Amino acid sequence: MKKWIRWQGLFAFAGFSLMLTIFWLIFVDGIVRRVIESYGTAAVGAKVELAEADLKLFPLGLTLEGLAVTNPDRPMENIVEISRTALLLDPLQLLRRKVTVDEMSLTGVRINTSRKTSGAVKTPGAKEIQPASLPPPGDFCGRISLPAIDSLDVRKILAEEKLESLEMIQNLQNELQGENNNWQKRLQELPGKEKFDDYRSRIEKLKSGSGGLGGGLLGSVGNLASLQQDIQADLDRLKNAQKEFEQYKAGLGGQFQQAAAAPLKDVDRLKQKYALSPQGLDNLGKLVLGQKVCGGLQKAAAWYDRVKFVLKRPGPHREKETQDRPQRGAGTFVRFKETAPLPDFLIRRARASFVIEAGELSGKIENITPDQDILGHPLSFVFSGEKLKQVQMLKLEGSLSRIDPENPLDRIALQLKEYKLQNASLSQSADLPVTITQGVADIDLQAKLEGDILNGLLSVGVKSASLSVGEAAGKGPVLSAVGSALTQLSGFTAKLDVSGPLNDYRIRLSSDLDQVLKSAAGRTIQQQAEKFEKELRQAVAAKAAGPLEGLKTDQNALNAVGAQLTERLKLGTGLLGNVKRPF
Amino acid sequence: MIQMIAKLLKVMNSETDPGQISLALCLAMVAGLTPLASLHNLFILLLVLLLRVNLSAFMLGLVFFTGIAYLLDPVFDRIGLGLLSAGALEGLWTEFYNITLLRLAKFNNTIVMGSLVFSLIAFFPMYGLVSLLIRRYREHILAWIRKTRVMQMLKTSKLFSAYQAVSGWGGRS
Repeated sequence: MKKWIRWQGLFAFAGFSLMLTIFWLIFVDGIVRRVIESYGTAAVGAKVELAEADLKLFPLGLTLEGLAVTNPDRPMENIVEISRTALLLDPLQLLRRKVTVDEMSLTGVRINTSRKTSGAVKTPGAKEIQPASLPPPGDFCGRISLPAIDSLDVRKILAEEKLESLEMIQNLQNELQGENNNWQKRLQELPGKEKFDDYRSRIEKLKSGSGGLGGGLLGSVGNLASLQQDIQADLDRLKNAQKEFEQYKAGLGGQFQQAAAAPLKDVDRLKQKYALSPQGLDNLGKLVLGQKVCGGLQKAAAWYDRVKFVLKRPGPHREKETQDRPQRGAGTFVRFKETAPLPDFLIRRARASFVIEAGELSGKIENITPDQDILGHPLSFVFSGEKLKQVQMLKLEGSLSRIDPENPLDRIALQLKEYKLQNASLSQSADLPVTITQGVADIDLQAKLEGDILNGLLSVGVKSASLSVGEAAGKGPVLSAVGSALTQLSGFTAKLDVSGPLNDYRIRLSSDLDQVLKSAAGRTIQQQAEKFEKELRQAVAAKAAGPLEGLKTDQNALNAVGAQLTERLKLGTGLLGNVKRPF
Repeated sequence: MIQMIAKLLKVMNSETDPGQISLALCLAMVAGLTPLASLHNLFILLLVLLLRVNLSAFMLGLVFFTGIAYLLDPVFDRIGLGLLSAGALEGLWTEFYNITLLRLAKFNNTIVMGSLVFSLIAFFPMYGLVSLLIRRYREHILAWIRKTRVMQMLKTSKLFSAYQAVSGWGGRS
C-alpha cells in the first residue's frame, strides 16, 4: 500500500485547489467585467461599458456599477445607463450551466443619455443598422403637408406633369396613320375604276357581237359567263376588304371616345393630386396631428425592436438539437429532457427605477428569458409613477408572450393623466407649424400585436390649451383660416386606430379638429379648389386641342378609305347587273 | 522539457516499478485526450498526486496527448455524438442530465464524452502494453547499451563521474 500511496500528494492537491480559489477570488471580478463588456458589445453592436463588477459567493450574487450601453444608431448617445445593478443568482442552476437570476434590481436607470466619446465599434460582430420592423404606412405618412392650394400655378404644374391624354392621342394618331398607309396600299391592289371600265368595254363588245372570235352565239355566252365570274371574284375581294375595314373601324370607336375624354381624366387626376378632395376636407385634423402620429409610430417601432431583443434566442435551441460542425475542441452539447425544465437564461424578477424628465418611474419586469416556451410564462412588466413633476399619474404595463413561439402575442397599455404640456410641437411642417404653448393632456393607449396583426387604439384629450401657429401659416387665405381656427382652440380630442398586418396596416385618425377646421377653412378651400379646377380644365383643353384636331384629320382620312370601298363596290355591283341582263 | 525527458530516461533506466510509469502515462492520456478544463480532470490530478506515479512521465504524457487530442477531435466528436444519441442509452443520459454534478462534468458534450470513453477503454490495454515495453526495454535495450564499449569508456571517464555527482544520474527516483 505504502508503495502506491503518496499521502503528501493530498496536501499538494489541497494547496493547488487553494491557489486556484485565491486566483479566482482575485481575478474573477475583472474577468466578469470584461466578459460582460465583450459579450454585450458583440450583442448590441456598439460599446457596452461597465465601471465595476463584484461577484459574491455567499449568497451568490453579482453587482454591476456604472453600466452604459451605447446606441448603435447614435454612437454619441447611450440607449440606457444604469448606475447600479444587483443580481441574486441561483447557484444550483449555475452549476447546471443555467443562469437564473432570482432577483435583479436596477437603480438609476437613465435613457438616451449623452456620451463623452463615441461608442461605435467596427467589429465583424457589430450589428448592421436595421430599419424598424414597423414602418409607417406610406398612404398615411407619405404626404401629410397641406396641399399648396393658395399658390397653385397651373402653368407650372402642367410644365412639370406629363399629360396622359396627349400621350394617348399621339399613340392613336400614330396607329391611324399607319393603318391609313396600309389601306392606301390595299386600295391600289383592289379592283378600282380602271378595272371596272375595262369590264364595261368588254361587256359592250360582247353585246355588239364583236367580242367573239368567230364562235358565234355559243362563244359569246361562254365569254360572258367568264366575265361574270371575274367581276364576281373582284366584288368578293372588295366585300371582304370592306368587312375587314368595318371591323377595324368598329374597334377604333372606343379608342376615339377614350382619347376625347382623356383630357378630362387628366384634369381629375391633377385636381386630386394638387387640390384638396372632399375626403381631404373631412380629415383636416391629419394636417395638424399626422406628423406627430407618424413620428410616434416610428419611435414606438424602434423601442419595440429594442425590447424584442431580450426575447431573441442566441442560437438554435431544441431538445437534443446538435450543430453540424462543432468548433475544434468545443464539441456540441446534446440536450435531454429535464425533469424540471428551466431556460438557459432567466431573470425571474427585475425591479427597476427609471429617471425621466418628469421624475422617477418604478416598476418590475418578470420572466425575462428567450425560452418562454420552456418556462411557460410570458415576459410581463408594470411601471408607474405618481405625482411626478409633469404628470399626475403614469402607468405602463404589458406583456410579450412567446409561450407558443409560432403565435407570439404582445400587449401594451399606457395611461397618462393630467400630463402638463408646455411648448409641445404638434406639427413642424413648413406649411403649418403648430405648437401647444400650454395645456393638459390625458392619454390612453391600448395596443396588441398578435402574430403579425396589429391592433391599437390611442385616445388623446387635450384641455386648457393654447395653441400657437408659426408664421408660415400666413401665406394664403386657406392657411390663414386654418391657423386662425387653431389659435382659438382651448382643447381637442383625437382617436387613433391602427389595425392590420404589420407590413400593410391602416391608420384611422379621427379628431374634433376635423370639424373645427372644416367649418373654418372649408369654404375657402372649396372656392380655391373650384378656381383651380376651372383654370386647369382650360389649360389642359388648350394643350390637347391641337393633337385632337390632328386625330380628327386622320380619322377623316380613314373614313375616306371606307367611302372608296363603298364606291368601288357600287360600280362593280352595277356592272354585274348589266352582265346578267339579256342582250 | 529536456530536463523532463532526461528525468524520464533516468526513471526508465532506474529500478522504478514499470507500473508507476505506465500508470502515469495512462492518467496523462485521460487528462490529455479529454478537454483539460473538465471536472473529471480534477479527479485525475488528485490521483496523480495521491498515487505514487511518476510525475515526469505524467507531464510529458500530458503534453503529448494534449497535442494529439486536437487531431483526434473529429473522431471523439463522432464517438460522443453516436453514444449520446443512441436510443438504447437515452434513458441513462436523461438520468445523468438531471444530476447536477454530471451536468457540471459536461458529460453531454460530444467531445468530452467521446474522448473520455475512448481514453477509458484504452486505459488498461495501454497500462499493460507500456509496462511490458518498459520491462522489455530494461531487459534488452538498456542491458545492451550498458555493455557497449562506448558506454564502458564513458563510465570510466572522470567527466561521467563529475556529471553523476552534479545530476545524480544513476540513482533511484
